[in-house]
Amino acid sequence: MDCLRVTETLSALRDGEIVSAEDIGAAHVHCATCAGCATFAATLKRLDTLPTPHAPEALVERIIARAATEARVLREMAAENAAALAPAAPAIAGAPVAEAPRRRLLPSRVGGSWYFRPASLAAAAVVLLAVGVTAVTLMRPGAATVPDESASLTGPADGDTFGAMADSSAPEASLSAERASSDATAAAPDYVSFDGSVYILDGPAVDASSLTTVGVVATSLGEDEAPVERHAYLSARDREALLVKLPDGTYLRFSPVVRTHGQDRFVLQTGAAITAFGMWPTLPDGFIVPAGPDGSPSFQLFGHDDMGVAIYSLTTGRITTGFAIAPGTAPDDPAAGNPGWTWWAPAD
Amino acid sequence: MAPRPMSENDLVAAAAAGDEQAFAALVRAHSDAVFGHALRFFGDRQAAEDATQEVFIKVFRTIATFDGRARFSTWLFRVTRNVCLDMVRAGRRTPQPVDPLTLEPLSAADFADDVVASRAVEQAMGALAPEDREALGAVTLFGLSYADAATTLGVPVGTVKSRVFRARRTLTGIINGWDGGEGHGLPARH
Repeated sequence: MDCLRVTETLSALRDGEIVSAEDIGAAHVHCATCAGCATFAATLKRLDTLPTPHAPEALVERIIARAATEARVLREMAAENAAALAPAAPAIAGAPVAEAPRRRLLPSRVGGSWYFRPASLAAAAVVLLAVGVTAVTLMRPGAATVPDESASLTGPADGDTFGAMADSSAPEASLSAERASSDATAAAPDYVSFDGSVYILDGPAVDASSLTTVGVVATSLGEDEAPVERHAYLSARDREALLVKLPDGTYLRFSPVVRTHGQDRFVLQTGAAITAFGMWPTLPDGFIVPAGPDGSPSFQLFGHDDMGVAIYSLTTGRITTGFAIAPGTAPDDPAAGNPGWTWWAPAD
Repeated sequence: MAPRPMSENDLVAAAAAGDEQAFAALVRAHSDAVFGHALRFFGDRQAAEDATQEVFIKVFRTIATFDGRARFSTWLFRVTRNVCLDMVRAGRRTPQPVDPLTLEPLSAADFADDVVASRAVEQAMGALAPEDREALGAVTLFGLSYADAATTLGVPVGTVKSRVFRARRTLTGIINGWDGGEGHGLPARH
């Protein structure tokens, strides 16, 4: 046994990996006569006894305190939301509503770029969706009896966001309702669908080499014409992209519309094929469009994705096959503007 | 009879159901590993503290989604790794590499002193290749098996084994003042 194998064996042994008794014996015999390997073995043994970095106690207590505070505020907000929901119930049943929020930020796409514009309001839809946005904040993910954070409780990931989150709940809920109402009138981004997944236009493909044909995409793209079947390709050099060939031989690059949960990627799905830019994806076949803002009877609140948006599982309570997102997400959300529920399936 | 201590699975389940004490217990049990990984990743205590806080807040918000198929420490390592990488991607923090040539070998007396030796080893960690340091941390700080580390890092088991070994070899070389370069710390074949 040479020095390299001996030291590799000693290293694996320290980690509890299975090493044959024969190799262990040979390594020990080798170390008895090899100063270098003996030093390596002794150093490894000594390293195991050294203290590793210790998290400052103040940091640990700060984390625990922050989590406790967050839990408490969530409980308080849930209680407030529950109280606020009661008088709003008639709106769910379609009762007339007098007035609505006045201004909103609606992402619209003109000339290929996003901009914000004021929009007219649909009062009943506003209240209905506001109730929906509020209602889904009531439950903690995975625990039916514990309140959860609302979308307003999940700010940017950087920095100490908790204070700002706790203070901004009411305005945010209102803004969400405004977004939701007007988004119902917005056109969808430049989507195509392929194999049930939704892709968004990035622009002309820069690298269209090493392509593999994967099928056809039926779309009119942005033209005012009937959908045309166009060849779709995957690129070995750009695995994220779906490339669609144009009649002039050039390609458009589309990327999947994704969101993440626990760092796992989920891709937006559609039941009906998207055959033109501006069409919204629909829930896949077999799903019943939720009748209530809480996702019932198809879905139930599950938790929040990495951006803090409420996600809904099937009534099985698991998201192994995907999850749903309610309408009314913020303008920077990948589902922004969609007037209906969306379904997101695991990317892999 | 004294109550039986909760197992880690019990703690995770309780924390997922909203038990703040259970979550606190998990933080106390795993904060050293998270902080250690972040400290070695960034080479900066403040960045490590920020990352540690972010990791546990993320865990707090998503623990109900932990399905128990993997060990909690495996999931925690994954979250920790991603938080550190995200902080770098976002330009919020930058790892501070250590030039191995600036490190002095330890005398026998220093190596026998826990405080001095520990500080020297942690400094030497900064001189490791990031992927080697990451694999070593997964195995020694979080207690992952080579197989679990391989799954989390997305590499073959043999690669984890090689990286851990290479990290140890380099550390041993720095501590003992062996020659640098490719064979840093590796006893010669004979």
